[in-house]
Amino acid sequence: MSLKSHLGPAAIVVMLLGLSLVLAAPQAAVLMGNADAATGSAMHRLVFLNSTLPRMATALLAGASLALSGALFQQVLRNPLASPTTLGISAGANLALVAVTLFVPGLLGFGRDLVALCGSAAAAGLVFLMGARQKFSPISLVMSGLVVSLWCGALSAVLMLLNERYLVSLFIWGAGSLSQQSWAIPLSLAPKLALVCLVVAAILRPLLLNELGDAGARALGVHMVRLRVVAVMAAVALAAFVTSAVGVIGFIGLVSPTIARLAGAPRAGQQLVWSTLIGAALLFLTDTALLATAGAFADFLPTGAVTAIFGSPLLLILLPRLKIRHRLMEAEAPVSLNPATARLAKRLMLPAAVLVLAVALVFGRSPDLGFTLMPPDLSGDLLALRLPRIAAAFFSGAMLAVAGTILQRLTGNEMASPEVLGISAGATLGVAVAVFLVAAPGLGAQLGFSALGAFAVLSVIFLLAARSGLQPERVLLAGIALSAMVDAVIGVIGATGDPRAVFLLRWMSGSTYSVSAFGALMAAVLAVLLISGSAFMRRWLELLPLGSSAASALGVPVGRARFLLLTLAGLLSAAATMSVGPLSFVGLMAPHLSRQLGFVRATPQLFGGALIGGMLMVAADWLGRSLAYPYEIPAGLVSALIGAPFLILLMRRARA
Amino acid sequence: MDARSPDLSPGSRPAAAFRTEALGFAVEGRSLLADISISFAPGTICGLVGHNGSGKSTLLKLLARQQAPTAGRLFFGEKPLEAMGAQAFARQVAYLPQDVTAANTMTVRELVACGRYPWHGALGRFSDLDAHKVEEALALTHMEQLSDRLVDTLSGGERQRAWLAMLMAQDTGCLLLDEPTSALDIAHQMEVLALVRRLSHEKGLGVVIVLHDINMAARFCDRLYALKAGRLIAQGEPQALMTADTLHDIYGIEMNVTRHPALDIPLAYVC
Amino acid sequence: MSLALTRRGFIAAGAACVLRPDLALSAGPQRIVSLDYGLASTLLSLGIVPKAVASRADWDVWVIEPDLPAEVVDLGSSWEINFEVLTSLRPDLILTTPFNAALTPRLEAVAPTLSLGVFTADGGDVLPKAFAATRALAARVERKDEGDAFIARTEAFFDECRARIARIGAPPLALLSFLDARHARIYTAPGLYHNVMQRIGLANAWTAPGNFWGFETIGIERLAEMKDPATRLIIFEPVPADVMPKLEESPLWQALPFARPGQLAVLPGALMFGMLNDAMRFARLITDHLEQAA
Repeated sequence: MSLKSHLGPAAIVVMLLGLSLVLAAPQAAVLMGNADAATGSAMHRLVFLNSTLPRMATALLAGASLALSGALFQQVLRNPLASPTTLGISAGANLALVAVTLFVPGLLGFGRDLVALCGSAAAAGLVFLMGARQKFSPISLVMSGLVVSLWCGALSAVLMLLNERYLVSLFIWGAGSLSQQSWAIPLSLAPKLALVCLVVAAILRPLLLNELGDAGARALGVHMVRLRVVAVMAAVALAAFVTSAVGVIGFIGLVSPTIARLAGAPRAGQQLVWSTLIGAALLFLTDTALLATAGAFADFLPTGAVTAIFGSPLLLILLPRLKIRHRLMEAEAPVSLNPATARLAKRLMLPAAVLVLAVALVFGRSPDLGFTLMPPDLSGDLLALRLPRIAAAFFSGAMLAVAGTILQRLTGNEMASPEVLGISAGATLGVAVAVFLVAAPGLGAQLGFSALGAFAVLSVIFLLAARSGLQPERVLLAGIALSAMVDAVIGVIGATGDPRAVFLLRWMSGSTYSVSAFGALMAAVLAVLLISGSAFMRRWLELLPLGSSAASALGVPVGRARFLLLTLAGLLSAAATMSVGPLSFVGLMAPHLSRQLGFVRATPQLFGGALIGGMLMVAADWLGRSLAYPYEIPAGLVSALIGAPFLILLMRRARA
Repeated sequence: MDARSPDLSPGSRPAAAFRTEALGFAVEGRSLLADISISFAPGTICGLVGHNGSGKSTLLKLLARQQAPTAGRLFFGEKPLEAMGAQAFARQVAYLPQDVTAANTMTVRELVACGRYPWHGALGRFSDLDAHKVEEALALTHMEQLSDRLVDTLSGGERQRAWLAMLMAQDTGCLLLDEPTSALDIAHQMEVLALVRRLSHEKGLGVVIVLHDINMAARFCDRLYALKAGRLIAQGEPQALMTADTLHDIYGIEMNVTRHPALDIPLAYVC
Repeated sequence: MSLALTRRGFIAAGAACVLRPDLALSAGPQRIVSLDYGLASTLLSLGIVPKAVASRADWDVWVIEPDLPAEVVDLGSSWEINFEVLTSLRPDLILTTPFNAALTPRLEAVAPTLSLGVFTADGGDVLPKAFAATRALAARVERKDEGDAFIARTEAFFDECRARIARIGAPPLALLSFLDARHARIYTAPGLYHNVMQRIGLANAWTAPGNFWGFETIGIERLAEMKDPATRLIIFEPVPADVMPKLEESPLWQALPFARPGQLAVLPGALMFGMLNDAMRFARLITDHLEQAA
């Protein structure tokens, strides 16, 4: 290895550390400067020794661990977008920790790391399971990772909402704060990092052969699969240790290896080493900068949320560099139910829909807490309350299903759904702005701002992806990056303990609670208009899965078709988001279910999916209204919680 | 079957063909194709040959309008290519990309029906004529037996035949095929190329085909065009082109030519 | 006032009472529901039992006193009260806060509403706003006399606490709730706790103002910013289980003056987003504790 290739990364490390020292110097001077002076300075020194220094050490160690984890993932998966954040590893660890905090707090004392490990390993397993179906293509892996992230986030959210008392502490944790009062955390993190480093050093040389590909490595006598398992386990463990110690710190694991590569560390081994050092320096700098400016904001800012806010745009910058190879939809046989069952299911679909609607309308709980039919004397009032919600749920579910069908057909990616299009993130951001500009926004203001936000984000995404001719993968990834950023913003707001965060959390969780009769009518009108609009584009939806060159050879104006279809999917998701919130996974589930029932062609899949999506949402809404009565669980969360495991089950079946 | 029998079936019709004038294509200042002037004869099978990176696939993509040329002009018949609408073009020219997506949820018949898009458009009705053309295409490619199978479940050769059937349903006068045999074993290569030749001759189709294997190209094409480093270095009938000197020019290694022991076709081999 | 009252006016008022017996007999709305703990608790002090309260399930965790009678119905979460319950109760007055402004139009459709804000984004001290809200509520439910009496009771109680504290002389206090072993919420201006401390003659050791609810989220090391060695730390329950053991290990915590025994106390909580009852509960808890400690 020539000395020259080390110069770039080394310069960057030195620069980052130098910058941090410049920022930290005044602080240290204040704290240490007049050490020999009396009284107050003794306390200063104590703070410096037991809070500031351990905090710096934690920043360095956590940064190094996350960066090494990210670099390992990127090497092993040969995927420049892989990292603990983008693969859902950190979110999985966080969810496990949140659940254990709430339900088995006794476990936390000694079993913290173990809990985090289980959570992140489960998340990793899930992501790889889904990724395996598309031969670990970079895009599909990251897409699966972010869907798992979203799901873990949704579950954490519902746990937090139902336990408001712990809300702020969970927010802080989720947002990753580095503040320390003793050396306990860095001292426990250091040996773990050292241990993993040893393991990585042991497999480093054979790992370099990874770049030859499976067959090439095997020809040289390296058992690639076993090696990869070890490397992935090391990476997962690193992310879990950090999450368990200080919470979720986003994007360091993505950014550092990228910087190392751009700075000219060309070979795998060098990249691992330099990524680790750059990660340490980067988190150190972020944290020092945060401390130096914290006084100015006089607010509590968790470091992890800040890295996410600055890190997620990097994902946008990286996108154009990512080579997206031709999508080869792997020869994955579409497993449907056996034909007889599918026929029966098809025939039962309409009656089932009617039944679901009827039950949701007349069956409910009353203050004496029993399930009852609607009491006749209240029927007028109750119908007036239930009808708009049921209608909104139905039409929004249908719109999400159609949006999902369009996106899945457009991208040929089975994990594509409105959630990852960034629309929801935009709408949430709009509402966040509304909450902080207009102290208590009314319904109209909420709707207006969310629509504005959704369209702002959609335009940004379109602008970013326009250069690639609106390649659907790029559009989705841009959406994902923006979603991550919005999550981080909400995290920051939540960690300050501002009660308005609960409002945002509620809004994100997607309840039909605030739907008015007018809102329901709007949803119905929009659903009918937009869904029939999508029926007009059914031919494009048939042909685009053939691949863009085949479709354009048949005379489909690919660019225009993509633009119109994406716009339509955007409108559909935005309209649905207004009443059922941004996160429901109905848009992901319904197209799959529709196909399983044998609706394989575009038009039947669209309409079958719409009906299924509507039913799912109505059922979720009813469950959400009844389960914790008189408290409500938002329909969006109910469907996300039930839907995601169900979806995973479906995919497993399809694999077998 | 003698693949080179020149029988033109009576149902054939004269079709327009491609003509290029000083065609060039460059990416980021790097020239991939320069100064290509070819008049492809209508109703014949024209093979593009050359080593890897010679520009043969690029030329085909320019013809198929998958990419726009950066220099020169392109005509189909008398019309400049850029003056034709996407749908109008697709009614005249069918293109088979090198790596076709598997279209895994479709049956063969559904895939073939996709070929009718240029005729009925995004909103038009799928007419009896469309249905008839689909059946005809299935029959032409002997895919009737397989028409209800999922494309996924087909072997490589059958899958290529299914895609060719889709191109047939498109009912164009000209086919552009980008290495349609690259993933196939020798038997399936023969099967697919023989089919292309038969279709061309039965329907009088003009075909421009990129082929890797010079012997296959010589056996199935009426005319060959050899590219090297983005330039056209030789053209002519296979018999004329298959000489030791020309082959050396094309591939840059010593080659020689012998005769097929049974058929009257040249065979190239490396010395 | 009676001087200004003319004889004619007096007669007219008497006649009105005779002609409108309902006005004379029972004052104001009868079936009242509240979306806010503070307003519900004030209503109880005015002698009216609300029909329903939002988040009733957690009343005993956050509000604790006064006791809420068993027949009071749960309205569901205060963010999303259950309209099916609300409608079936057929209330004649709904108490709410500007915090729930998004719900107001729908609440109006069920019954008249009264929105009273104590914690509002325009900031300012909370206690005076709590007094004003109490008066407004008393006026609206036509229990003006009870309202005045309640306020007088409160002021008297504060005066009593002030006197008791003046007798023993108290150090500056820092009030906080632990979020986890590394983070806490510290209470400061312009919050309810802070205002009550001012009112009963106590100094808040944390001088930086917080958000308009009157708190700030901090890392625990920032407690070292409080320089006065006499400072006493009041920690409100609940304290997460792993906090104290972890703090014991921290040299920094050990070095803080209030880590010493006698400088630190854990007290039961009082609703920090409440009104007068909660202010009184807080004053009583603190005063009792200081007297015990003295």
